[in-house]
Amino acid sequence: MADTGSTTPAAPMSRESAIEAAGALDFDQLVALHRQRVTRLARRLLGWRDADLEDVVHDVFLAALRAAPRFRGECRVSTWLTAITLNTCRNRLRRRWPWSWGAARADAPGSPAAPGPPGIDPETAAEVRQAVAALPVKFREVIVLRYLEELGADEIAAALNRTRGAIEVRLTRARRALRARLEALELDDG
Amino acid sequence: MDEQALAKLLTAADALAPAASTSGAADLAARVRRSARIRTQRSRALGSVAAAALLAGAWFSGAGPTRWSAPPLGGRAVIARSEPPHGAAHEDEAWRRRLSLLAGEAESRLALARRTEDLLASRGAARARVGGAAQPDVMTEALLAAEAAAQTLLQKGDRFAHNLNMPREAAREYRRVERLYPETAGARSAARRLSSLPDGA
Repeated sequence: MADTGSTTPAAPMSRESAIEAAGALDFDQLVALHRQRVTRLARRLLGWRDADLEDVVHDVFLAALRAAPRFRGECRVSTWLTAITLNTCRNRLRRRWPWSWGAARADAPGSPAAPGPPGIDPETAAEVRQAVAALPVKFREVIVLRYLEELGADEIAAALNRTRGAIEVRLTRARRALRARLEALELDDG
Repeated sequence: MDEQALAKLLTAADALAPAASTSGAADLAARVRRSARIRTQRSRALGSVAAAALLAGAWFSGAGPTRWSAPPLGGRAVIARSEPPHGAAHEDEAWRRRLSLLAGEAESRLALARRTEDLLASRGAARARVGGAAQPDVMTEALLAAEAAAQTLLQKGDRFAHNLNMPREAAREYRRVERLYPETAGARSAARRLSSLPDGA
């Protein structure tokens, strides 16, 4: 769709190719190019929970299919999809029952931990993920986008439809909140 | 913990997360397209149902006996869809209720029209008129409502005069038209009929 002719999903696109992106023919390509990234982002935003993940990914691409004719091509397709994923996850989290908000269980019970880099044990990793999952949604979003998706402040600002300054302020507050939680877990000793 | 350490910790924690247990990723595009189709069909169906309900509502409310169509300005025809039946006492009550409704509507519309006119005058005619160009003409609507009420009263007077042979009551109704709705076609007709009534009415 948007990235026809380009191999990188984040390549800028013209308005014409954005309109073309609305076509069903290229929708397969859009899904193929971005499904993994959207799934990964949605999973992180949902607190590493798999319960709603498939529904959320489905809803993200459904929203993209419906919104494609309105896509103006002013940002990258990946940023556009990131914004849709953020909104969809936000809506999904809002619909959850109050007792499952915030302190969501980060990992499904019984699911084996993936072998990771040395220096951190799986229990600590789970606690860190829970600390991120327990952050308020707007803080969690910027933390995930900045440190896990490795987006710059400008890209985060575009995805969240905020100014760069507002995003930097939010990032500072989110870091402070996360550090406070990590200190409570006694993880903040480096 | 500096930013670099925080980033490293978060990346490591993310890397150690259990693998996502998603299934059915292969036909995701097809499923999404199917969902979009179903939603479109559903919204179209809902739209049709809503339109049908609106039409039905309009039809049934229009079929009621107290429904009135807009009167022709200056015309003589009265706009009642159902002619009042003769004789029964409860018919007078129905007439009275209908008239009070119409009179109330006419008065409120006239008051609204006057307030709008005052507003237009106070804001500066040119600017306000340009801004209000797309608004419905409240004065016309008010005049139509007043005309409807006048014609109804007139018809009641005609009934007294011709059907019931009660010229005094007829004259009273014609005078009411003149008093309540002056400068309407109904008031002019009432004046003509008053002059044609026998003396002493």
